[in-house]
Amino acid sequence: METIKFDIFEDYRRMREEDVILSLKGMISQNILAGLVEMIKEKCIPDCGQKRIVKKMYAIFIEMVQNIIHHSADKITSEKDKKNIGMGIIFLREINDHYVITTGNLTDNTKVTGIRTLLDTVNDMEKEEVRRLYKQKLRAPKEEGKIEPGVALVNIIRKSGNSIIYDINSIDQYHSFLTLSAKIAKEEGGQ
Amino acid sequence: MKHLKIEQTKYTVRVDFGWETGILEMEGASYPENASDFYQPIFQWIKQYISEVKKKIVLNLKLNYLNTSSTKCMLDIIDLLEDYHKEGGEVDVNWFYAENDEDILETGEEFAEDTELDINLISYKPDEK
Repeated sequence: METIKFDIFEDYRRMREEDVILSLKGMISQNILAGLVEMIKEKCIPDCGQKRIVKKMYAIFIEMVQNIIHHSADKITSEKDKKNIGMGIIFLREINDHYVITTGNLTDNTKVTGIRTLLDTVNDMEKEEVRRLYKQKLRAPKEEGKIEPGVALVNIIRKSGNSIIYDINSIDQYHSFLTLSAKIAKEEGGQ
Repeated sequence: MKHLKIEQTKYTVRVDFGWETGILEMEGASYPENASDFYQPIFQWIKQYISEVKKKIVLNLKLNYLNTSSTKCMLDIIDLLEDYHKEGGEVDVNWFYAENDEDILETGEEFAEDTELDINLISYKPDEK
């Protein structure tokens, strides 16, 4: 008989070492996101002075988690109520004077080059250039309510004031695993 | 088409559009899973108001957070009103921001940069929780 023993102590120890304050792997829906946002607002606000940083953090958190909901290649779509549930991993870490949000999800290999090119290009841009590109991309689709793919990533770079650190691990001929990390300084004006 | 009322949720705004008054209010945070779906009836309502009622529109926005796709929808709403204004319609846009909320003030300023409409940026004291 298979054993159900599952040694998680190593995982716990590693997360503690890596200053993880929140971790989640599983099916992520809009309602789970809303719950996590409430938790960040309630638990991570040490005092009013940091309100702006907390807001910045959950703004970026929302974009990254919705990225999983919309773009994870491992996804359940309910046609009935038009809802997506994406499989993914989310980590929130507090490292010295920064918060770091890391997300991971499966992605189709056909999208990998596009993601790489976009991130490499925007990561190298000056702040003002990022802002201009964001506004231009946001306005690009004429159709009401539609946005271009990748605008949310540009917005994350714009809001955080830092590059998105990414990794792409090939899994098989169809899929890769995409890891994205965004860094938010705890102090106003920090990098 | 009459009064448009949508209750606020954790991730969608309260909508209150008066067919008689021409006062269009939206309040709260906006990060629905599918912003385009959420804002579709709002676009339709405004278009119909513009073509049938043709009276003054006052858009009152008291938002505290917009995700990327909601930002696009809000731009599209402002564009609709800008077109109406160009055709002679009277339009007021009031952008209310909590006095310590620089992010949402910045969003309002960015909207103002990109439109010929005057967007009034108005600060208010947030309720302390």
